[in-house]
Amino acid sequence: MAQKPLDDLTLIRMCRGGSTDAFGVLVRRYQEKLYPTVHRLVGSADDAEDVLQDAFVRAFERIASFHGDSSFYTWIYRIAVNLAVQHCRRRRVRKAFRFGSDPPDASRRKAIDPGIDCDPSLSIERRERELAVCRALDELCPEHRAIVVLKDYDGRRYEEIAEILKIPIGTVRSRLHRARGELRRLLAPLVESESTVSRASALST
Amino acid sequence: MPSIDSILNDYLDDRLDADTRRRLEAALDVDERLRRALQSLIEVRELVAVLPRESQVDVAPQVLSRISRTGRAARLQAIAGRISLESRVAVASALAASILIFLGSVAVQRYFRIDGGPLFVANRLMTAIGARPPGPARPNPDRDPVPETTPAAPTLGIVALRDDETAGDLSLTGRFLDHPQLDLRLIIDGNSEVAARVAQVISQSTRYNFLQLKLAEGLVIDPKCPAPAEMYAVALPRQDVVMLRKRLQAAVGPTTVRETRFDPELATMLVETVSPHAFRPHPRADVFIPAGNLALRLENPLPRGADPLPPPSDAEPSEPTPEQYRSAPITDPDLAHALKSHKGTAPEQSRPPLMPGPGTNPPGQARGSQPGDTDRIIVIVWVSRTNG
Repeated sequence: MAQKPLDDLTLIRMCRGGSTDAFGVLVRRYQEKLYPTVHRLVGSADDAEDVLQDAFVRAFERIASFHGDSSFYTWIYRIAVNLAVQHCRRRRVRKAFRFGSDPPDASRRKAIDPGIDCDPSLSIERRERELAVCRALDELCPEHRAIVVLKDYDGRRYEEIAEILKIPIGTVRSRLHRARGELRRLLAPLVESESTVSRASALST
Repeated sequence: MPSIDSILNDYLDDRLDADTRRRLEAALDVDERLRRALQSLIEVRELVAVLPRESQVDVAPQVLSRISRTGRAARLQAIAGRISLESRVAVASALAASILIFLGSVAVQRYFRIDGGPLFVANRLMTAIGARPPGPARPNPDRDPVPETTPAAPTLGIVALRDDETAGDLSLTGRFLDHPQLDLRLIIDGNSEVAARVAQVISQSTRYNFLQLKLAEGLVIDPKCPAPAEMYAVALPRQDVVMLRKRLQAAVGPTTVRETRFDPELATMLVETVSPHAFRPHPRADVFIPAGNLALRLENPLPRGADPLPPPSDAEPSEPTPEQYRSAPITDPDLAHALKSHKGTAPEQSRPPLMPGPGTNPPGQARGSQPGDTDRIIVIVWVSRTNG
């Protein structure tokens, strides 16, 4: 008879008792669920792993402050997203300090990791499209990127986003509008061609 | 008033009230531009939504490692805090003890009227209680092994004289190289390091200014020593030549110090060929106390760094003869007192002669000598540069 896995609250109680093994179970349970969001927020796989590590370490250090009002995943998700946004802000400040207000150069574009290069089953066209979207996301400021990723990539509701980022719902709404408008401008060639294909397919049907 | 884009975004996210939603849908039915604007927003949203969700990651080992390190660091920090507290207590105690000892020594000094200052009294007090008095540590022969003496590597450079101190190098060179007592050459094969050690030894072995002469590559004045050379012309009391030779041998290690006569022809060629530099001596004291043959020898009246070979003058001899040394009255009261209280003074006839006897004269002694420098000879130390 297979042993029933321990639930989050039991593991958290064990963590509070000093069991790092119990926390290891929590890490393995949620790391793959958190990683894509963090990856989209920070833009590169290496940075995403670093931020994810920081998030779990931070969670372990503050495990005593987790009261179970929300699920552990919501709690760690909130920590990871905020650390990712903070990471993007620091990186932006460093780049601004180093390069001034220059537009993104080739090296910056090269650093963007869509996370699909190793998948040969994807068509070249799709890869290029996803790479373009990742570049466009990287052009956004961290706050706008966070809103777009949480809403359009993770499908979070406005209220959840407001709770996670600790901002009013009105701010979520206005930022999302601006971020989508900026993305539409950045992805104009892609969107136009998509629109053309859509119209053509609509006419043919 | 909200913009069209804002309303379209709200429509997209289903956040419009029913009335606004109905009116917008009516407008969309008739407005192609509005439909295209909404379509572009939908496509942007879809482009983001369909981005891959790769998740092959395992950060658990790193996280657990960091957690364990953090825990260890926290424990170490706590220990460090305790050590720091203990250290502070220890330092404060030591400081308080030092202040008490100092104040006590001042009180003792004033009460007993002891000369020597508070530090002297503190030393006495600390010695009495078994602590080591402040100041440099002195070796304890019972406890500390006596280190073996090894030839010290040269650490001090030789100091060149200024032009105004030498009154012209050429003049000094002439007085060295034309001197009738120039008859001894010590030849050493070595590199620049050996030459530096030789220079150091020479500066420590003479009390007079000495010369350095460099024979550059390609200049050959002695076919027996064709290599580039560094030469040192140094004036010494004749009896110090043996000591110079020993010191050189000790300094240059396995290299043999060869001793030959210095050909006067070479001196002439040297004067014409090389450019000399004068240097100041750094005499090092060697104390010899033969137990069975104690003798008192007065200090040489010539000051340190003096011109070894002043221009010849018949009128006034530059230095008293050994007989004059012995017969001169003692003017120093401390020395007279020391002599009076010294009962073991050897008889006068047992003192070593300051001048070598006739049988010990080197070959060059036969040539003419100048007044005042009869006991000094000029030695050329010739460092033949083998490499480097």
